[in-house]
Amino acid sequence: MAYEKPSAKKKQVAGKRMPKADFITSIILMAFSAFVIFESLRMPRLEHRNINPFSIPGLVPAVLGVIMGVLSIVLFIRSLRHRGYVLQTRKQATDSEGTSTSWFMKPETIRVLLTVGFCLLYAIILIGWVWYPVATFLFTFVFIVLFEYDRSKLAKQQVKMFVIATVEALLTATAVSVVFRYLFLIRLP
Amino acid sequence: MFEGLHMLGVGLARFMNPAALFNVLWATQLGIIVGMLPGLTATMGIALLVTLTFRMPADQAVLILICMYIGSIYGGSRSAILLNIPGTPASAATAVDGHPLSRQGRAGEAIGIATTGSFLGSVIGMIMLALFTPIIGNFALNFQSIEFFWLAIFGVVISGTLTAPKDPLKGWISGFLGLMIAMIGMEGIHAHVRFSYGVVELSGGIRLIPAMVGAFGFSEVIMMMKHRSVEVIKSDIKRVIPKAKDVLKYWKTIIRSGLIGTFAGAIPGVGEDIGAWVSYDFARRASKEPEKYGHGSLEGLIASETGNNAAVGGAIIPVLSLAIPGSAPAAVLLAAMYIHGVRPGPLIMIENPQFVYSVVGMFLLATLAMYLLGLSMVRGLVKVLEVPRSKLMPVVFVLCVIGSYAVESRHFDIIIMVVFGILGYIMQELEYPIAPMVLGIILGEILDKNLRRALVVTDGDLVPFFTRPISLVLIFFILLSVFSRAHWFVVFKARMWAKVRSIFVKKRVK
Repeated sequence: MAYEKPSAKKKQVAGKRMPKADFITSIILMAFSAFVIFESLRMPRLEHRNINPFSIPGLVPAVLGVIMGVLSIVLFIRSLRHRGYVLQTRKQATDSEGTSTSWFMKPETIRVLLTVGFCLLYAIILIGWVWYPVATFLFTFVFIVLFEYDRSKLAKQQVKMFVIATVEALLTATAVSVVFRYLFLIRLP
Repeated sequence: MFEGLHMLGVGLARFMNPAALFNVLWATQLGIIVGMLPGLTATMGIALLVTLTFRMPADQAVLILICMYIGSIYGGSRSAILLNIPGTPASAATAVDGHPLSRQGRAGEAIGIATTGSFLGSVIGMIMLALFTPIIGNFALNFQSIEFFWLAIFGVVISGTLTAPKDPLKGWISGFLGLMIAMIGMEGIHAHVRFSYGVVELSGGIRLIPAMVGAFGFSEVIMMMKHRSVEVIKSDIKRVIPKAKDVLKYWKTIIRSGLIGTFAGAIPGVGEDIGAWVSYDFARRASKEPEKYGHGSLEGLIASETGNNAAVGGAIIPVLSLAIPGSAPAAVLLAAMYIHGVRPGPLIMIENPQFVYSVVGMFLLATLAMYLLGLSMVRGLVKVLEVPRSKLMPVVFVLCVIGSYAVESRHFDIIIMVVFGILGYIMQELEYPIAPMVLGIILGEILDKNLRRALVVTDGDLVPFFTRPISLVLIFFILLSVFSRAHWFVVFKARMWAKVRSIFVKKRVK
């Protein structure tokens, strides 16, 4: 049956790309749905208010928890079929030999962690602790310097970059603060 | 019919003043710039503008948002053509044929054709918007709780299937995750607060604007900073205004793509990107010169650009008629309408029919402004693309923070934005589409209220859920979309098809 082939191929593609990640996410999702179902069953039934038993608040979350549970079990079984439970395949182990610290040392990972960490620092801690325009200036300036600083060159040779970063940070901080404070009448955080 | 035209005239007349026209121009131009810049998507542009416009009168604010929407979906084609990086996901199909044209030194021609395609697509979308919103709105008046329940499930399932074509399972997980997120906060029937664990701010539920600014803005900032920036290839832009001959030659493709785009846009949670890809695919199949596709085919370029801009009109149809967004940017538009006290949904044709036609009028103005601005100032705007990411992204993040804070002046919303940004980034890395989740957050309340109401009405009987005619149609489509990828279904379909064909062929032999 010739027509079976393409579909079989398609089926293999889904789930084959990242079985390990799927394996881990499916376990997290299963735990999550179990938690949601448990919490929904624990929810008050509001009997003292004589409500219709079909309108209890926990009904829909419980149904959604069950559906999510089923979907995560399907994902779990699929990842098992693609051997997602094998934490490191032999081929990968030999590949990454010598570069065992690969994931953490990858430039992409470092860039992502730097971005997230720095944004969190600004959004959660800096704002509310330091005056908003100052916080914004600091964030913009340090962000630009962090990603544009070239370690192979002397700091002296990169004066232009520092100047541009300062000007941009000043402009951003002033413009955003003024526009939101005086034009849109919002009390700044 | 004539009543509609009259209301459209009234709607348009309301915007014929310098202030409104000025708003149209700047918002569309800003939209084009937002669309052009990779990392700034239409969704985020609209979400940020919601905060900037929420002190304006409702019609002016919605006008600005629609201009931003149309401008940014079009603007994405610029970077797709010049850099081979789609400025918004909607322009991914544009890059396939647009960039080869620019490498052949025909960047100006490609931009002209893309602009005309977007314009015509937008016009088709607008006509469909004007025609179908009243029809669907009136039809939806027949919907009862059971239908709305199935409609919510249908939206999440079909959005999951179509936004994750390779792996629909992940699309559905994303959609149901969104529905679960919507369960946080006070429920709509007995005012019981669910899943808040004593956090007062959570009792109002997760606000859509901060969640979307995070999921589409902050996550994009992380995505953009992950890789080092690419260099801009300078291409010579000559004549931009397209020749009428080039456009007229593809009139069939334009109409086909416009209709496909509108249809894709109108499906809940399926946005402009799918509209463009499907139009492109259909155009290639119907083309007389399919070998040119991928190597700079004007037809392919026009198909994808017509498709994505037609989807904008399509996406607004369910927003107005059912209060269900057709795409992620339309979801923000819906949230903005609620903020401004406009209540879209089946009752809109009874309560506020003028608003529907005003939206059509806004659409017309935005489309004209997009065409005008798209064909002028091309060379100057290319410079925007040279701004490096490391200089642009901190400013974007600053806007994300203030944008999510501004609507309600709560520090908590900044935390929501950050959480959804990280969640959105992880989901993208693991290949879960974000659009179904956002749709789920919106549909959660509809699902929750209507399922419980329906069960109260039927006294717990599930049979009416499966016997009412509109429900049956929705169930059919839900099952079709769930099983369309299943192995046994594909085999079954192929067998049935073979059987039908064999009967047909035998008859012909006789």
